[in-house]
Amino acid sequence: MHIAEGIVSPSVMLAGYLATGVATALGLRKTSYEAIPKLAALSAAFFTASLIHINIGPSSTHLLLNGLAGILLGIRIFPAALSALVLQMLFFSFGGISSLGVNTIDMALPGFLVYLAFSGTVRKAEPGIFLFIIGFCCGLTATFLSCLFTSGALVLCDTKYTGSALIIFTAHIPVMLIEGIVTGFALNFLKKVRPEIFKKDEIPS
Amino acid sequence: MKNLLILLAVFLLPRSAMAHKMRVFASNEGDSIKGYVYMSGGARASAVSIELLKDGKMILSDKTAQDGTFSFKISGSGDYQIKADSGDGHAAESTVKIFSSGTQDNEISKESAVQSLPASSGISNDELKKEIAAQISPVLEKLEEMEERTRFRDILGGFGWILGIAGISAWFMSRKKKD
Repeated sequence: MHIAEGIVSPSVMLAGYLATGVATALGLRKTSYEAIPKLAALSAAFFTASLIHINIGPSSTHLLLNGLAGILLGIRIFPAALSALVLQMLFFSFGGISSLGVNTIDMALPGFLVYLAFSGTVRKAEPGIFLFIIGFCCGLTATFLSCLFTSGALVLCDTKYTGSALIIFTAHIPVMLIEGIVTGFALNFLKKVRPEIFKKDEIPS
Repeated sequence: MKNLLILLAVFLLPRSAMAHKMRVFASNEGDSIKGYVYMSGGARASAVSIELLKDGKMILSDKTAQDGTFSFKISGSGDYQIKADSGDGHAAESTVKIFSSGTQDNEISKESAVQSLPASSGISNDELKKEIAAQISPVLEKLEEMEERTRFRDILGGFGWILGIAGISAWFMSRKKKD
């Protein structure tokens, strides 16, 4: 749910940029040499995920994958999301320069929060039904929080958006379910073939 | 790691993709500006707040119909702007320039010479304009559609940038490690 150009009010734009700047700097500091391929792969996944449309009823939504990225990257989700959003803006004109900060936050922050809540459990879990359920929760929560932050940001820009904030939630219910399923399957698959990507990356000194 | 990248790429490469944006298509037909609001991907956007502005000032506002269409009656030439706002973060705009016919004095004599030609062939000036607008409309639509289409090379371009930046960062970091 990229917020388009020209909607964001100056104060919200500034807050978005500040928060994104701080979070991205923190994320980059913690990116070691070994973590770069993972970051790049998920950034690419973010980039393409928005092209996968889910058209249910009148609204058009797209996949986010921020739950999965959050679990795999932790705080590095901020630089990954920011790079993907910048490239989307340049190549496809999704969103705009004024909403870039806000869009990064409402996409990456849910992923990071999901990481804080679930990563310990994911790391310890074995591939199986339990991990699938945890993955499902991660995907669902991340999408739900994204809706929350986006509608919150819109309402902060202009209270005329309050009514349509509810539309965002209802429009994204199918996305929440699909994200949950995708994240569940993805976590299981990755745990089986590449369990080492869940290990905590060493922080560069 | 390479396998992971390949898997992700295969998993996520869409066959045909359109930009996730709201777009408004507007054109001049007779004495009104008509058009529709749609999400590229094709779905029409209904009940979207739509405004008509002339030279920057709003003069009319409405909501799109069930099929996403709108129609504003206009008077006079100038630069008209159509702004659509769906309220959930999507917004779009379009400009329609209306040219007057023969308002400049030195053009009037030329205009009347041109006007006499269609009359003799049995089609009035207004009907001719309507016919031209009707013919151009689908071409303009197609043009908009083409502009918005996400091309495969754009996706590859994005991937290229990501891989490039990742590669350069990795190179820098590996040098630091060696020291």
